[in-house]
Amino acid sequence: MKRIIFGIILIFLILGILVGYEWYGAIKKSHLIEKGIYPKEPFPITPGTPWWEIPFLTLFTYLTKAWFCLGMAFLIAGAVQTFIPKEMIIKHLGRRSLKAYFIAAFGGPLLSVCSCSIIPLFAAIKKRGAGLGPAITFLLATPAINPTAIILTFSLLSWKFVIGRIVLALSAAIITGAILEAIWTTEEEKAGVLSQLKVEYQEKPLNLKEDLKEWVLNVFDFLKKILPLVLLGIFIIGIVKIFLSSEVISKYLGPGVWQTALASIIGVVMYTPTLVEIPFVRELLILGMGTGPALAFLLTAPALSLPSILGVSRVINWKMVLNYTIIMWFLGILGGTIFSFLVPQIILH
Amino acid sequence: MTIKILGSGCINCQKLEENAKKAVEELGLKDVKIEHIYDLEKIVEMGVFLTPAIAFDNEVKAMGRIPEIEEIKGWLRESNQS
Repeated sequence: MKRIIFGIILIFLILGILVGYEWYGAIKKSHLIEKGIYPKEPFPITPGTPWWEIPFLTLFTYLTKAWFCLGMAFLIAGAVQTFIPKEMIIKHLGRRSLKAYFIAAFGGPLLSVCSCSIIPLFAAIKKRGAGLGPAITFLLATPAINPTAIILTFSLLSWKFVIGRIVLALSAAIITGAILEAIWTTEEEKAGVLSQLKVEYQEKPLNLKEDLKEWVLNVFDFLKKILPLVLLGIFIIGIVKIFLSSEVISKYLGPGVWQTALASIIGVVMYTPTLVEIPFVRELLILGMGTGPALAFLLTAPALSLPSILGVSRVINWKMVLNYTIIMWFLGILGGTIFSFLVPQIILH
Repeated sequence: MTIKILGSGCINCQKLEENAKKAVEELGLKDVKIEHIYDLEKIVEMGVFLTPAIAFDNEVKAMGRIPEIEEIKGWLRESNQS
């Protein structure tokens, strides 16, 4: 059997277990509520809770709620890393074509490269591969819709946000890439002199014992790199929570176009470590954030941040960076506003 | 010969440089230099798009992963024979 097919089966298997587990939990809970039994929060935060306990209680609540889903998400991320050959995707980014945009948007997330590796890959796609447009698409789509982020969104927010996020992130990344290409690419570059990204790709046969070992190692690698940041991020959310009241949130981030614009720009400026944007949005939704601002934030927070903007400015002209930041901000507002009409309210459980 | 480590200086690239140094030391090779290339322009020019990457002179040996010390030693032995 081919290695990649084995990988895909494995990924779907884990995904199936996860979805089954989540839905079973949700059905059980709704049955209890029908009978009038409200499941108790293991670490409740009440108005009487001392302020210094709030960050710890927030962290514990997330650990009890998300440990299963996080575990599964890391298993899947490791499987993608092990079984999906990166070269296969990058090969298709070596040619200047319309197809390259779609490969960049859909394939980028499958690469799940670490953030310090995104910029070299971006530079390579731009200079030697498909050119500026697809490179921008790749840069913007990759962090927003990697498998781990999607799974955590499903588990902590809702499947509606999963669909909203995927549709908005993919279309925004493609639109932004295409606009930048149209503005900044000169005629001679369009002729396609750049295409030289050479990728050799050898298909490796499946070696069950070795491959499974590599999978486990990759999962641990992800855990080591990402988990501490996620836990720290949630702890900081707990600290921020001490200062936020639902009046402030519903005023500035409640439903509405202006609020969506504000959320979208906060996402640009604020640095949110990968995955932390999801529990952050959950907390804000509980405090009265609108669904539109939430989706806008979920688009811009992972895709844009000051450190990444500075990093990219080393590869391309800062005017281009400013261009795509503004376009993404605007698309965040547009997408968020449309989403708030389709999904005016969300019930979190 | 020069071993080139290509990467923007993140933890992974440093780990790779360490592995390369150890491999050279353990084999007792005196005439092998190790050079770390941080410059993105140069990295892309060498045809590398996934960091960290390791190259012997201009021949890229691996990219997008951190080869173990043993693997690097294997390459060193190979290139010494030829």
